[in-house]
Amino acid sequence: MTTIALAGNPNTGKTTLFNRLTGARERIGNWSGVTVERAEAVASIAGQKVRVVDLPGIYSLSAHTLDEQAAYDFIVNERPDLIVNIVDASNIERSLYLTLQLIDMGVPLVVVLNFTDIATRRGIRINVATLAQKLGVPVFFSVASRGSGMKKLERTLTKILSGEKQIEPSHPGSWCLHSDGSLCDDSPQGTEMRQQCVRSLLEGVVRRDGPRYERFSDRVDRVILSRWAGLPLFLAIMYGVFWVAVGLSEPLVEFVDSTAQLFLVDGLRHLLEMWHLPALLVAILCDGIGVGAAAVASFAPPIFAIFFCLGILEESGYMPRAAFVLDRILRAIGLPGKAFIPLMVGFGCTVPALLSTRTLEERRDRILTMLLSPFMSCGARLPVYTLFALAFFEKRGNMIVFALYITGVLLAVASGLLLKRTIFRGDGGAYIMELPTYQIPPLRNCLNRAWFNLRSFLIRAGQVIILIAIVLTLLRSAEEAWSGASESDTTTTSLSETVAVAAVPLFEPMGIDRDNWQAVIGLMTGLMAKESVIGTLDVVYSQQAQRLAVAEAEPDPEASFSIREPLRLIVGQLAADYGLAPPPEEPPDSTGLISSIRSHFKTGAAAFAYLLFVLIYSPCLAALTVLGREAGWRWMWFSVAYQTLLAWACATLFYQLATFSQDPQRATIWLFVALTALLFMALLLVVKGRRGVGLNEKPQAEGGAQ
Amino acid sequence: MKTAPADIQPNAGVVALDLLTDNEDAIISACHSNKARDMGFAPGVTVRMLRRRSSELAVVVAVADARFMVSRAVAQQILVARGVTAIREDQANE
Repeated sequence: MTTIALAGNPNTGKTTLFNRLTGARERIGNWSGVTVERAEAVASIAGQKVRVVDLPGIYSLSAHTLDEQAAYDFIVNERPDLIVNIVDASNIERSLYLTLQLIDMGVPLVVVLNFTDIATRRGIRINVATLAQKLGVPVFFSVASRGSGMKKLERTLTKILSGEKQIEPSHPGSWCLHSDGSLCDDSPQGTEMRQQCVRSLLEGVVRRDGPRYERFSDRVDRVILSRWAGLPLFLAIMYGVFWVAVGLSEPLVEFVDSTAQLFLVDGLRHLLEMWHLPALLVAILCDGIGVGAAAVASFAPPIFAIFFCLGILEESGYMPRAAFVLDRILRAIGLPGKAFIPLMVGFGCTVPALLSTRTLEERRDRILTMLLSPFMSCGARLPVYTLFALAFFEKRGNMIVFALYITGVLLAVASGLLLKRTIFRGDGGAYIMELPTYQIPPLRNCLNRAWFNLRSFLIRAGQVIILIAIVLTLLRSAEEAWSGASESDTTTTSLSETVAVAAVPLFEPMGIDRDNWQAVIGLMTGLMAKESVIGTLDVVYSQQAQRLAVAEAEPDPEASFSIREPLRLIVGQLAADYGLAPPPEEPPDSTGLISSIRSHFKTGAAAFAYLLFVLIYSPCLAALTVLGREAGWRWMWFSVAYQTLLAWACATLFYQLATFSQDPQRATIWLFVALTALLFMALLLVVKGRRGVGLNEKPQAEGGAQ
Repeated sequence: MKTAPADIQPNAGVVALDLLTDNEDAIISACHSNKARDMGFAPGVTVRMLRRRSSELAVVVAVADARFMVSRAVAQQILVARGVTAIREDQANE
């Protein structure tokens, strides 16, 4: 199969073009280093299947980071049949350096001048015919985000692939020859000579009418990067993101939770019982799949909202500026400002955050960033916070969620300081990072991105939750059949309950009592995927509630069941929450997960301690796998142990302090134990650091790949 | 804070990039950072300092049409010639 590679400088629109060519939905963003590993898809061009490969951005054929190495290896070692070189028309002088290197390699090349709209706005006029003639390769204008220029590119690719058009760079290497006729290399002199080639190549090709400096982005940067406005603005933006993600979506969470409960659990149960289906099947469909699906549906609003907001930030070009604003703070914990971007990506999902560390030059910086990334609350944890906030902190819900996010950041800073002084001694490596031009975030991209992230969360969580629901229901039924107990017998103990109850003493100091053993099962399944915590709680709580209900009263299949009235109240409550209508005369029955959480956790202190544990404890299985692969399995196990111990200590400290007055003697003992655990951990790191365990090498002035 | 290697200490007319003041233009005379060179910090290119504060550990500069955040350690490896920009710009416009 013919292979076409898309290569070019970072942030020139390669992935946008790739998505256009192949119909793929690869992640895009307005900063350098969004694509960190190559993506492949098959496209149909000229009636033949073509393998299209999207490569991470590179400035030259010298690799300084892991993502650049991946691009270099593919171009140099795998030798694609054709390279489509995407060039930033608004910054053509810099971009053509790589173009000349690719021409020197002798690989057939097509040049696409992207961002021509920005170039035009800046008064940069490019004579494409002269440029094509000078380079000896086809050159096109394009605005990939709008799809303009795509048809022309596809027509040319068709001609090239069918052999109708041959590409022969007029004089490969002729632009970059030393006086003795040898090709200039990557030495400083060779690089300088190639840069001079670019400048002479552009003579008569580019005309500039607009100013080079004092552009809109420069003026905005004066405010955004300033010492006094930068940090407050950053905090305000982050609070805005969480206000939208939590405050605006909270009523929707209640609405979806109640509606899904009404249709998928109560309504479905009524229907199945009317049909006199076997009790086991009803239990699996309603208490298992129905409850699981309702839980999954309820966390759709905040996840969609957080990814939409993060999409706006990533598309706008603000992210690298925030890296500049936080540079000093990151330096204090031994990281370069550039490490902010992987950490910020962690607010969406930890897995891409870990992969984003590939853009960092130093191995030490990469591993330290990977260890700190899980402290950034990922989108999967947001539904847990939101539902607990709804259950216990209604009016202060936003502030509680924001406090949890800030706690995560503060713990990352504290951990960074500790690790920097023990097993990661040294300063963050030197770096250089491009600041992209600001742009109005394309709404379609942000919506698409939020939808695809939400879909992947729903599928992943749905699989885990529904599987757990079915297994728990079957286990329960099998145990009842084995022991001969009836469904209404509330004294029998299931296997899962036995395991959870055995583990409860470990969690009692943080406010989980024996009656709330379900919370422990939630934490266990959260190791598979954090969003499973809520779904699991919903399933196990509702199973217990169902047993209690059966024990209290025999079900009457003929009893009247109405969808209309509860639905009217639910919709009325939603409209009232958004201020569109007066509140309904009576609020809808709170029979879903929120009321279960309220009745099982009993106090706000226990609920917040539980949230602290969910925030800090071990990353999920997918993140651990990536961490092991990228940093090494030793660091993966370190992350599991460090974060879980820290989570337990922090949750215990909080709960015991919050409830100190209830039992001062007991609280003092647990406070002592938690502080001792933290101290022991810190001492262990100090000892390991002194023995030279870890990554205590001094970073070089710049990337080790030099 | 890292300093420039001994063999690239600036001479009278040439200074390290991080010594330029806000909105000052200069021509790059030498670049001892491979990555920076690949990103366009090549000798002969005009550079403008957009933001330099003593309290900040990175500077913001414009090179051609791109804007960069450059850590001080890298900025000290880039040497620039002050006061020759205007002549070069005039030549370019001609």
